[in-house]
Amino acid sequence: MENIDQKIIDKISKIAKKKKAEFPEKYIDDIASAYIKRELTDKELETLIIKVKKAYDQSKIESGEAIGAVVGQSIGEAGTQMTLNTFHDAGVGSSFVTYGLERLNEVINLVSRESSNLPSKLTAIISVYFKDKDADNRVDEDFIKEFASNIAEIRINDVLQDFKVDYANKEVKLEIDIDKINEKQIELNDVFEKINKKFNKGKKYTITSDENILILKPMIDKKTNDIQIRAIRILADKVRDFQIAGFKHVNKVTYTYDKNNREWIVYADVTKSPNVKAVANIFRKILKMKEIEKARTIETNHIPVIHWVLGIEAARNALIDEFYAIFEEQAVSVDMRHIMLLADMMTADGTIQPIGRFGISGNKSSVLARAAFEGTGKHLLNASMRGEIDELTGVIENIIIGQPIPIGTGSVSVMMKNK
Amino acid sequence: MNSTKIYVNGEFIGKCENPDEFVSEMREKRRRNEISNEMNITHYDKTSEVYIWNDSGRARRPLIIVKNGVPLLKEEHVQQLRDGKIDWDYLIENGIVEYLDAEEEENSYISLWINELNKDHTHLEIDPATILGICTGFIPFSNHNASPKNTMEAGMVKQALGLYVSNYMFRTDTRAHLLHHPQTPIVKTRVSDIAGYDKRPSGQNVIVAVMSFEGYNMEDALILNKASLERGLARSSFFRSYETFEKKYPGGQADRFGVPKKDVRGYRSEDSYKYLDEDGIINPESVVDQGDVLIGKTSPPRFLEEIDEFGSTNEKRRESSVTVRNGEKGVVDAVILTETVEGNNLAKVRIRDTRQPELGDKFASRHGQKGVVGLILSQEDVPFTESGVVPDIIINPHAIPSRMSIGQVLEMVAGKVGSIDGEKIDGTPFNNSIESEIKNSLVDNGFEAAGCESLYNGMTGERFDTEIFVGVAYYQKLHHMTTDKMYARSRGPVQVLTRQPTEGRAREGGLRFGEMERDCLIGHGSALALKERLLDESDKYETIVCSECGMLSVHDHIRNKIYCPICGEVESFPVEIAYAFKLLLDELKSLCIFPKLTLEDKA
Repeated sequence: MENIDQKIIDKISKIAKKKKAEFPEKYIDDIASAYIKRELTDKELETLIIKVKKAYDQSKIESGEAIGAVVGQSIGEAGTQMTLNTFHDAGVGSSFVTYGLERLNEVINLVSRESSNLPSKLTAIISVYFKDKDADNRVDEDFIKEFASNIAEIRINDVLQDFKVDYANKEVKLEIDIDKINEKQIELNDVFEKINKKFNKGKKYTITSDENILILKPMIDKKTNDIQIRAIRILADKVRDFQIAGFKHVNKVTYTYDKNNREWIVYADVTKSPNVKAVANIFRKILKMKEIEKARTIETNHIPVIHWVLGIEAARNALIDEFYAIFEEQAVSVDMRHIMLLADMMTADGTIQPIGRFGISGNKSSVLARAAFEGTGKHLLNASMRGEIDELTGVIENIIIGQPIPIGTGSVSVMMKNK
Repeated sequence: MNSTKIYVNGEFIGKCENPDEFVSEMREKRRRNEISNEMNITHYDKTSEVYIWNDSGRARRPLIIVKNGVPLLKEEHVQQLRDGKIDWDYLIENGIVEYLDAEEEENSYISLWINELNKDHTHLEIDPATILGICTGFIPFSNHNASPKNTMEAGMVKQALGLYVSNYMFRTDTRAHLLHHPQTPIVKTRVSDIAGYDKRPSGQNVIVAVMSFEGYNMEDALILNKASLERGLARSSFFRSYETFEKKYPGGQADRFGVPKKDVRGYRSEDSYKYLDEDGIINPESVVDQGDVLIGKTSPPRFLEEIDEFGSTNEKRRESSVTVRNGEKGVVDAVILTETVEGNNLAKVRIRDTRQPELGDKFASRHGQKGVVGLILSQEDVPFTESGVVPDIIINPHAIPSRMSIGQVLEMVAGKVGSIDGEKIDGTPFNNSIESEIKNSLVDNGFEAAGCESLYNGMTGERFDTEIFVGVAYYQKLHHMTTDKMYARSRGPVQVLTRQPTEGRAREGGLRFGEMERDCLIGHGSALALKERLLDESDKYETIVCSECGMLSVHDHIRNKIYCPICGEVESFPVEIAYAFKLLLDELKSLCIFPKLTLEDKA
């Protein structure tokens, strides 16, 4: 069935063209295979094409169709079937991922938007794929472990064996856990070097090291001729928090082996992420790594980041994938085209907009439509101050004033010829 | 080190180093009757807190105390109780039984069965059925039901009609239902005995056949035998009381009972007053319909009247009679004349209406199996058994399997046995010995053990191929009846403010065409149908709009002139808008927002 004679395809395309039918390629292929399988005569083929054209034309959306309302109902009805159970993957992977209705809410309302500088509520998870997965088995578990430790943020606190704030000697003593360091594939020397580099700047501290023990001591304050207790405390906090490896804010990295595709996938979690910018930076850095297969490592649940790094079209596709996955996972069937319209609406103006008050519904051009949705008083007052004009082009406005809505039977009107 | 905080009735009073010892000592003292048995003490290990409660309003329940896996209530106590030598208080005073509140239950380990006791148990249930409340306790064999069905039934018992009080004839409840021939259930539970259900029952034992019949019992509908209804099955009375009094106003004026005179403001038709006696109050046993006046009353005018040509104020009283509610009818059951606390004359009228079951009335068994009447079938057409028994109710077999209300099946079998043997059956849950007894008794009486029988079609006389399950179940009539709900409106009253139709049956309101219905019309693109619903059939309003300033113009009917209050006599055009929109414009203006309408030719 795969190798359909090009001649037949040309023939069918020709008849279709004659009948003024603009079929997608797949239709022509299907007709061709039916033509071969059923051994149709040329006359029968012609009737088939006419019938297919009729059905195809009938299935097209007509102008004036209320697609928004239909999409709203189609998604809304299916949404009521979705359950609120969030415990169905509890414990597995131990990463903080939302599912189902909760996730739908996140995506639709764009929890953590690009404009916001507030800490994101959302845990951003970036999925990393690798190239040459089969070539020489280079991507094995050890490689993955190393890769994971390279991107995970590691602080001094994560590799400590013992930590003492010695108020008597006025110093901070840290003992690095060699096992932990080895596990994370970091050299002890590197750690000391980094600490030296950071804390020796400006000669504020004296640093002495002995094997895996490091002692930091603040310099004597010239004014008081003594070391203040407060200075020791600040130093202790600073040292503990000092980042020695990985990308900042990537505080957990997990990896799984995908049995179906026989490859490793690494998930970088950016929990408590400061803002979209930071997440986007991490995402960019990961994309620049050479071990990575870029074409597929464009996956993250943080859609504004995709928009920032990869652009609006990528964000639209990510939205579609995300919606599709949500409905798929809940075994709720929503037509792809409905999902696409929703994603299109959210990305239509080149930025991603949420659905609600701060997005599509709240940014409508009509005052009456906005006032009918939320914040009636605010919108009417602002409109009066700016002298806004409502052109009454939408649906809600016309319902309010009592005119036929400009959709369906209301979208047609009589036009007079100018003489 | 880690001392435990102690709270009495939520108030912190002190700390304790050895909470376990303290708590058990307190409990021992309570059991020894050294401190009040109303005290409950709870120790929360995790938070190191001890709560002591002895205030009012806590739900508490009695349990048998268990020590080392042995209940303290012994056989001898039971015997002594039977002989009347000791009483309940003796058990409490001697620390055999104690009351726990919800909080102390957290510290206890209660066994449901005596043979499951181990040394960790602290208490034993007096009876396994005591874990149930009053409403769930009424359900026979509730341990065989799916739990949601028991929950549903617990809600529905409260809606069942019955003998709700025994002094109903002396009461004037605003609304009350009374079942005419309530019966005590054949299958009862111990809880229903204790709660006195037999004294105020709320249902009837009916013969139930489980079969589909002509499709009239689809979707949980049930088919009723007409002859049974005519014999009084599920017949009930509905009472509604109306009352009013002669209110006294400042200035010496007062309301007056009496037949209103024709010149009274708001006079109804003469017909409405036809049942009134001379004193303006209706006579008992008058048959009244909606709008008929029960108590004739006039009130003094609300404002001072204009002075007529002779210089005297012509007092024109207002009509303020009490009439029968919209959509209700009945017979005047009682008329009561008395006084209010302030000494004003008070009149109460009670209307009674007989309710024979009709299509759409709601019924329920005791297992959450509710349904409405789908068909009232003449007795001749109802299937009958070999012995000539005709069922009162036919329910659909599809109602049972997916809901798993096995309790109903058991109740029907047990009811059948009970009615044959002429005795009541104990259907208390967790009593597992009864099932085989019932089956044996059924077989002894010549029936099939499962309760199935051959049935004959009442219409053709043919025997049904399948055996039909027939039994006796206790059915309740619930207070959702067709007469109270049936409603339609074409035209009717509108609200003053918005000129949109009023809401609700009692106000003869419209049926709301809501947001989702609106979305449907939008989705279909039926713009004109939508406009018709939301404008033409609702609050359509024609007005004129000034072509200059876009505000509403004025039509002076006296001088037949159209002018704009701002621009004067400029051209104005008629416009069709919703009155609610006109109201919106007015409200915006009152908020100093100036909305203007720009007019255009309609395409």
